[in-house]
Amino acid sequence: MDIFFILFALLTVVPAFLMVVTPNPVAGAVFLILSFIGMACLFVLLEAFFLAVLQILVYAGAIMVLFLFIIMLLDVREVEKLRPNTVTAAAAGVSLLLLVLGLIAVLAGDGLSGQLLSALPAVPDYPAADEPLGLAQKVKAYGYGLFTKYMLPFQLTGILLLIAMIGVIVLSKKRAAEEGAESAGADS
Amino acid sequence: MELVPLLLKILYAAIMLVVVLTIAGYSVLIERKVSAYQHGRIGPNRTTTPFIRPIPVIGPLLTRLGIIQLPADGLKFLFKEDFTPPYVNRPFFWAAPLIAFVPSLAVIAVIPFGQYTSPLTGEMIPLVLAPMDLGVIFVLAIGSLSVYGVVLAGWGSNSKYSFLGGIRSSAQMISYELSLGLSIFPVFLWMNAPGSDAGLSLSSVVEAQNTMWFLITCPLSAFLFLVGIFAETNRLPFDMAESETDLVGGFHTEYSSFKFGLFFVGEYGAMAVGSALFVLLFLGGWNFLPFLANPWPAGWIGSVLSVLWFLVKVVGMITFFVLIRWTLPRYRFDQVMKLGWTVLLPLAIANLIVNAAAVAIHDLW
Amino acid sequence: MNLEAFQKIAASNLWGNLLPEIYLVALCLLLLVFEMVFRRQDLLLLFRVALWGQVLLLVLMGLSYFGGFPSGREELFGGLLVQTPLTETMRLFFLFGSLLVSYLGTRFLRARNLARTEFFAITLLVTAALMLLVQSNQFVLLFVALETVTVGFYVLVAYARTSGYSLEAGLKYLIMGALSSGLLLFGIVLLYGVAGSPDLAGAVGDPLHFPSLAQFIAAHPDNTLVLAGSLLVLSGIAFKVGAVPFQIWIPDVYQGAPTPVSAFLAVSSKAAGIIVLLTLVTGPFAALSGWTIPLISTVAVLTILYGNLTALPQRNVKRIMGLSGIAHAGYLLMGVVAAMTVDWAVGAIVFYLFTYLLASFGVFGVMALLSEGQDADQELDHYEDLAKRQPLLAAALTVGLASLAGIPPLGGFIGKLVLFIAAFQAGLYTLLAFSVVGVVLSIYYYFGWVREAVFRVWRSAEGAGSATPALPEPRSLTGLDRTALVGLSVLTLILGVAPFVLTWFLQL
Repeated sequence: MDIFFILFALLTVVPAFLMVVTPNPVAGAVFLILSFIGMACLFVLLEAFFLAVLQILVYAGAIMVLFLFIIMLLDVREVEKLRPNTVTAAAAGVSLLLLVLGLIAVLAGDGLSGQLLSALPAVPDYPAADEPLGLAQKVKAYGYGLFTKYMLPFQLTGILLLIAMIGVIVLSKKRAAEEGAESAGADS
Repeated sequence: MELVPLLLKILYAAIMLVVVLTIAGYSVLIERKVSAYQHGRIGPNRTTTPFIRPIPVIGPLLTRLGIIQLPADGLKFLFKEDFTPPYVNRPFFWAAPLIAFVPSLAVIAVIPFGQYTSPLTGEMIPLVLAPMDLGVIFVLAIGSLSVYGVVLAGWGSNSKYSFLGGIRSSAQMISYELSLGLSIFPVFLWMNAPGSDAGLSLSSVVEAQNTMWFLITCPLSAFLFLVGIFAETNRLPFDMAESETDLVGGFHTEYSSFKFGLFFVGEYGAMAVGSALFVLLFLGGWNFLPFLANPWPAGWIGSVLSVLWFLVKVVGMITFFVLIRWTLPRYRFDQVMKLGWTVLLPLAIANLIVNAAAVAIHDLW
Repeated sequence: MNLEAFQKIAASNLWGNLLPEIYLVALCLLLLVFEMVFRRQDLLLLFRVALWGQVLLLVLMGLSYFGGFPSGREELFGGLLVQTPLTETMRLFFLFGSLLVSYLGTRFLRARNLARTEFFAITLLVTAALMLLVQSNQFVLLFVALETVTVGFYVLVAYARTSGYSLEAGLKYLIMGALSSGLLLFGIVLLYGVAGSPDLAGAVGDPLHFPSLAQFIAAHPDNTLVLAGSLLVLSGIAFKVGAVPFQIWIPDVYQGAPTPVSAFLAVSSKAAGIIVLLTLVTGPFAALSGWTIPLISTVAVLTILYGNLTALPQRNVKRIMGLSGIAHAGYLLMGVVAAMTVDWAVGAIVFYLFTYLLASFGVFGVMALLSEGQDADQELDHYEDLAKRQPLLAAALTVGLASLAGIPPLGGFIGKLVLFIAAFQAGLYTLLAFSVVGVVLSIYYYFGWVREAVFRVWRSAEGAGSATPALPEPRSLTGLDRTALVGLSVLTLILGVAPFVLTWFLQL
């Protein structure tokens, strides 16, 4: 499966890189979608099918549509090419060097000793099962985990979404009094 | 993986693709004939070829039915001039038809279309290209990608009509995907109610409907799903992306020849897949009729019969799609948004809650 | 599937132990429903429900302690949550903070004509999340709670959306907050990956659970991935605290945010960050003390120096509060370092947080009452002769600032004193020296402010011409305003002079 891993890893990394460097926002969004699809493929290699499908359904299928919609609605044309000044460029270079050195240190040290993640056996977070799990039951195990062990974070996520919803409404909706004040300001 | 099973899989996939494309193509004919019937016209009845016309009885019949119209249209798309306007954004302009075309066909891999009952053991095996236990979520996920074709076509065409079509399409997609996804949850809630363990695959939905269709037990779900499918496939009354009365052709205004053909087939392919999904989820798949046991005998004859029965239902659904197109007027864009967010979404949530409560009460008894 | 194991976990989900949080969420939902039913944003009822609902919760929590204040350590929710006397005290702290924020918000929203209900709703939800944050004992819950808090603050900071300052602050906070969440999450993932890796001896089943992680880290303290992961996690938390080098967002955000929100950020958010940091360095990262002590000490020194030195030349009062808040975070970081070796330093930190809460809300309250909503560009000049115009405000301001500076006999003095003693016992002499320098510096700018407000300042004739634009004359104080200001001042004094309060805190 090594060849698939390399293929999908490239599908994840190359569009991610292109997304950063492209001056065109719509192209950037499309590259991001491609990168998400590559990530979903990597999940498939790890036999995390449910996660892979969710990745596509939620990120590629829903969130990125919203992104594209907003980019198009704002009618963002090509952004100007940023010309990094020497200090920024030097800082970026040093950071990159440090990152590479750090990576080498990790790989040479007693970290994951350079193993591919896909080669590691998966450790399930839910209680160990006696019999091998079927795929549907894996989704079921996911559900059990969500509604027993992770019930509290799950509920809290609901609160998080409530805050986000209230926040969007309060930040974007014009109040009647405010409109009146604005039109009065325009008259005077 | 060994070579022979791999090649077999590829062969099966190719056959399946040909079948679905043929269905998609002939649903164009269904559209034309049904619309002609509704308008009091006859529809395509002249196209023919030199070798078919001379055959007695069958030749004129095929001509009158317009069977030859499909290859003629396909060839026409192929041989027309492929014109790319100079102002378009080329990579997107060229990629968009493919992106619209591929997801709607990729979905067929997990759609079961019949059953095979082993005469020896009596075991029932669903016929499906890739038996996947996540079936229904996979369909939703891949189906949600098809909007990018429309959006990118609209943006890449660099024309105002196309652009508006693309924007409308993305807004509509976001709005209706929610109620579409929520609408099928009750079905799976009932299937996976305490005591039963059916998973999320599409073939188990069909098994669960052996004598009772979900159309009868979850009518609201069926209705919401149907509306959602209409919106997702951009069919009237929700074809905001095309809307030829105010946007010329919407997202495909600038397209011609084979690229337009891809959009065209992609749309009908999506319609065929959507019909198949509705049949699987709510009309019992290849099960005979509600309240009746399956009459399909064991062995391959039963398989063929079940597949044919499934196809009959799918074609019926396609006809229904067409009938609706020529019956209901198109919504205005703001009405589409309002309907999606203020009617369908609350209904879908309420439907889910009511069904969940019903499952719980059912469990208590 | 191992159903019994799931059932056992489900049985440990004791929702009854989370009643305060549930109450706050329910109160928020009640407010939202009220607004929907009455269709009026400016209803006095909404204020009252929000304010008195929280007072009621405070009373109820107080009544529940008649059976004895919770003691001991209890793990709930399958190890996601841990309840100790410390977390119980912090619950009270956050409730108190949210009560004061709601009170200040009432005043602010009335002056600015902004949406009302949503402010209280988000404040209540954020408070509930803050309570869960300090109780979390597992990275999943920690991260979700932290994000809930942060997302709430994104909205609150940008709440005055007609003001350019507020929007700018909101955007800056959003971008920096997203970056820090990214750092934190990346660190968590590294720790998860290495602690769950079956290749390493002593891999644990749930690497996100703090005690399990502590066990793993104790076995592998030199693992590069452990070091990288913990460094990233600490960086993410340091951002919330506002420690150098993650302090850059503070002045702009504090200035732009509505005053009640600045106070909320300064007090509750910072306190939560400090407590989480404390939990992490004494819990899962305890085995890493060999490098966390020097690291956090260095950060503390830089934070103290940065906060005090940059606050010196400031004229804008909200920036002064923001920058001096950085310095206070530095003192608290010193307390965290001390707590790694001296046990009772935890109590000192909490005591310091309470004095900081009282004093800060006193000062922010005066600022909010004086500015009537036009609060982003309030300069020191606006406080000229405050003692003559508004003697009560000037008195409350003086008490608050003096407590922040650490003048006896106020609470701030005792708070700093116990913190310094803890640092002395822990042997952090260099750190202590820098802190004392910081305190001396802070007295200069705090008293510059007091001087402006209380003593008559001579101004040259030229200076009078270029005076800053005057603020609208504040409305007269209501009974509630007076009660709040006097109450805060008196409590500050009580913390300073009543030793039994201190001994109670030091038992934590």
